[in-house]
Amino acid sequence: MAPIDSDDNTTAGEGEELRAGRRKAARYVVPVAVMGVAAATIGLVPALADSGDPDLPKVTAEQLIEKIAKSDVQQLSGTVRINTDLGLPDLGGLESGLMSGMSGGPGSGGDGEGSAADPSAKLTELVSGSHTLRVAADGPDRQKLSLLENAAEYSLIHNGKDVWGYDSQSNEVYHSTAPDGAERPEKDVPGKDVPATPKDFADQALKSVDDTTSVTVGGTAQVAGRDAYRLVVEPKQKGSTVGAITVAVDAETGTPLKFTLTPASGGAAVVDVGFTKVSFAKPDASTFDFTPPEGAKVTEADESDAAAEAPEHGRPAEGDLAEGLDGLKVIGEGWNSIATFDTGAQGGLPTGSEGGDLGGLGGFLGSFGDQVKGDFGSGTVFKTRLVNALITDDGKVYAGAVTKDALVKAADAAQ
Amino acid sequence: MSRAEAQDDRVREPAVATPGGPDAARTPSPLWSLGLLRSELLTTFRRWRTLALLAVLAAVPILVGIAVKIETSDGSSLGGGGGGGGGAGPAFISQVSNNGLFLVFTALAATLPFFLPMAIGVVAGDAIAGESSAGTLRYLLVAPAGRSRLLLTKYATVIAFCLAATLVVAVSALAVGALLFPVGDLITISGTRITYAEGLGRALLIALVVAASLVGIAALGLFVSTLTGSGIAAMATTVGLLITVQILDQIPQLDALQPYFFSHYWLSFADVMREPVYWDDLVKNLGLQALYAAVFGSAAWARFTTKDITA
Amino acid sequence: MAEPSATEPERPHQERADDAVIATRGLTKRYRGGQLAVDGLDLTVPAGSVFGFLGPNGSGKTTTIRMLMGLIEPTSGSARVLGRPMPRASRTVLPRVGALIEGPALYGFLSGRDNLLRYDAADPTADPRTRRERVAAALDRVGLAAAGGKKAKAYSLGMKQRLGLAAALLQPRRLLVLDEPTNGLDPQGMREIRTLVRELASDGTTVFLSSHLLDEIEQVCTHAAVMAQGRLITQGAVADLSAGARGRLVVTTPDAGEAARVLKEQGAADLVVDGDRVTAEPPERDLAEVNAALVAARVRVRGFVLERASLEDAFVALTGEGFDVAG
Repeated sequence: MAPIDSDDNTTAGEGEELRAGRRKAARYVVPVAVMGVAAATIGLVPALADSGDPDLPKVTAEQLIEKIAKSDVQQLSGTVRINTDLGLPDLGGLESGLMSGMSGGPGSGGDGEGSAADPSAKLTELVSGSHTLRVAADGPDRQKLSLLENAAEYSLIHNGKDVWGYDSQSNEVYHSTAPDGAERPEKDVPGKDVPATPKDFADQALKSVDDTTSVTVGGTAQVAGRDAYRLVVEPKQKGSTVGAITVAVDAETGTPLKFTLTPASGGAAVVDVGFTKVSFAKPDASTFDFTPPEGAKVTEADESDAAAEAPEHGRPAEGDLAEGLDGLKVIGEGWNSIATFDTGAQGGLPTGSEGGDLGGLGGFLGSFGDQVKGDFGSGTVFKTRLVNALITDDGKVYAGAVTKDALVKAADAAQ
Repeated sequence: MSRAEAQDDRVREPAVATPGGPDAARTPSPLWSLGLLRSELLTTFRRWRTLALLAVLAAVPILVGIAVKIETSDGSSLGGGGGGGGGAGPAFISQVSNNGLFLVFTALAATLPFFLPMAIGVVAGDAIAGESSAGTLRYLLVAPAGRSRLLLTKYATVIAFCLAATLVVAVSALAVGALLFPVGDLITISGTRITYAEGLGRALLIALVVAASLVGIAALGLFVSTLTGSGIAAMATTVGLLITVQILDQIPQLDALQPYFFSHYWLSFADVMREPVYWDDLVKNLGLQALYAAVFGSAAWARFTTKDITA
Repeated sequence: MAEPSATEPERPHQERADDAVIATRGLTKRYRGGQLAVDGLDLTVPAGSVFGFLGPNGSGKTTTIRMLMGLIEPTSGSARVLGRPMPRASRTVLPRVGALIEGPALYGFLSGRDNLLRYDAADPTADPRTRRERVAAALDRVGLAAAGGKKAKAYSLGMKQRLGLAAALLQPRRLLVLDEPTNGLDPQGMREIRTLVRELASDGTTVFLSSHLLDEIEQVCTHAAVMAQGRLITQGAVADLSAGARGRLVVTTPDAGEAARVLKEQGAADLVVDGDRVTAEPPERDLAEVNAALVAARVRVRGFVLERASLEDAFVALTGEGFDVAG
């Protein structure tokens, strides 16, 4: 009958009891369903966004490389995400301490001459972990690179002949002057030699293209909402820890949008740098305006030699790092190059008895290494996901982006 | 079903009701429902406890302002010369002495991790459980306030308190900042310059974002509040959960879970001070808060509408 | 919600339940601990009655009232209030029901008036434009007009009780549910409440009055139900309930021993001699004969009375135990 009577049907008995229980339980379905929908959304949305590999005309690897080389994007702005997972032991503060040590000292505690706004100190932070950067460029004279931190930001601004570094957390400013004009702006911007954008990484990778390398076009992809080709660079030789390097190249402009280095051992990418947003429109001119805020401490570049020197040491590339060391030799070629030098220290790892910071550090590091033996004698191998190093007991160091076996082989051959 | 559907019964009422006397049809206007919200707001904001919480929150910017003033009275700037660290103290604190408006951001950054959510936890945790332990809940329900309506009213009031608490911090900081420090154009954390008026606009936006950041813990507190009959227990549980999550958010081994902690993106409000504004984490934060509100709000509803009121 | 009970035939009590203000069928509540608080309660409260709901503390009265008010969901069985099922029809039923449940509960930091304003605002059918007048009238009715501005925490227990009553009287009601309304009141306060209840009843409001005080029920109620240990023991008009229990014969005499002997001869049972009072269960025969026998045996009779049974006697007769035993 009419629903008017429906509530007359309240009957006593077991049925009622069961229904009441079910009604109660049914309400908890709502929060569970909300959670389910949220989980599904979180899981599915990236999958859906990924699924649409764009249809682009076929190109050869040569054409693509040429496209990158010819690419002349002067104006660009966007957000870059950098993930680096070198597989270093997670040492927290020690790790960053090592990094700042590498960069020549400024920024590390107690060094009164350093500035928190020093570019080299800041940008070496990029070597590990996840970071978000913003980049903007308008021709060779105006660039801006911002490292987004928690409730703070480090900005590096190149505008004409001025180069400003601004660290908002400490409210400190670093200032240097670049030679006027576009003589060699890229190189003279401090910190510019620290690769930050996918293009920087791609340039490095393509430099090493030779006959030990296979270069192919690996389909297409969507990066930061743009259609892109995937250029896949793989070492031909065995023994390298590098699995493959993938560069996503914007189909329209030829700008590298994403750079991924996957290790031969598989797993997550060692280095993953890509735009999450990109625009090729001319950035707002005010983006590059900078005047030091009131009360900010300004450090001039020529005030501190250490700061000016720092970028030279700031290169994370192992070759550069080793340049200053005596007796450096490079064994092998291409991807399997192994740098070797003799520390002269008998007994391999410096031990605590030798005193000093390094000694303590060495003993500490020793606990992370693998002991190996070979024709060369014995030594310790330190592994990261990309670079491995063998320190023999007679004080020789072999390092490269190669496997442990390759290092041992190189050491044996050197005997 | 029972109570939620009770509304439907009204339509059928004429079939049963006899005319005259107390049955003389009261035709309620839907707007009359807001009477409960008004009453709830009045009741909440007239409580000594609520006013004390707001007073504590208002005191934080005053203390921070005075501390910065003393610290920088010799003309030095805070955090300067200390080397690259600058990590001590809440965000933006190094700029406060240069521009009073930064005190708003500093005060919000200082209160957001603990003071603000604790105040929300107290008010939300007490919302249902407090009425229950005072016995007033049964009278509200036989009035009849309606369980869903009462819960919604309570949640709306807690949200209003989130907004009020945040604005109290912001306004107090704005006043103290203008009183103790110079004001004027300010530098965003991206190094660009914006006018004071735009700075004020961003401060308001930040206050709203901070208030919205508290929506999640408000829903959590309300849910806890429906679980127990003791107001104190509910408040303590909510504040305990807050502290636990804050600690877990610092443990690196849990980084896969951390993006789902309600407090994970709280400090993203600082992204409003970037130029241009960096929306990614702000959007994530708001989405996460909405998710918490939906999950715990509906869990609170499921619990409260089926619960036996025995106190 | 539309769960047709096709298996359920037309029930005989249907008509009776229709003009009942409260009707429950097999109402049962088992708490989560397994404790059976109310067990298969069939209660019928006729319209216009003053219904006494009697039982020792812990007998399930309050649980029953909470189920009637939609605060507790029954484990099984059904409850109808004003002809509508509870708790499903709370929204339509409760605005026409005033309730005082387990004593008043107030916001101590609000004034008496603000307390009432809040409870009135909680009723979505209450017109906000006339809220202040309603509150003033309710305060007036319970004699709190002068103390309306005082903070509720400063109220005495009696004043709190009255304020609770005032909340129940904010609207004209068809049913008033008063759970132990005189608890904590002094004799003067109790009298006032009883007067108020009679007044309300004479206006046609059905009053459902729970109490553990027998004389209270006896004084004001037209109908009563007795609960013990979660079960309904009896219900009906108060007059019928008392009639169900037999009165006692009381003979006052200086010759108590002799009187007892004669009464026993005459068939009286359960003889109790207490000084000059001899009480007994009256025998089946005409009491005039009994009196004549006493006189014939030269028993000097000062008084010869048949005491009408009280509700307490009825209760003792029904439960076989004293009233103050907690369930």
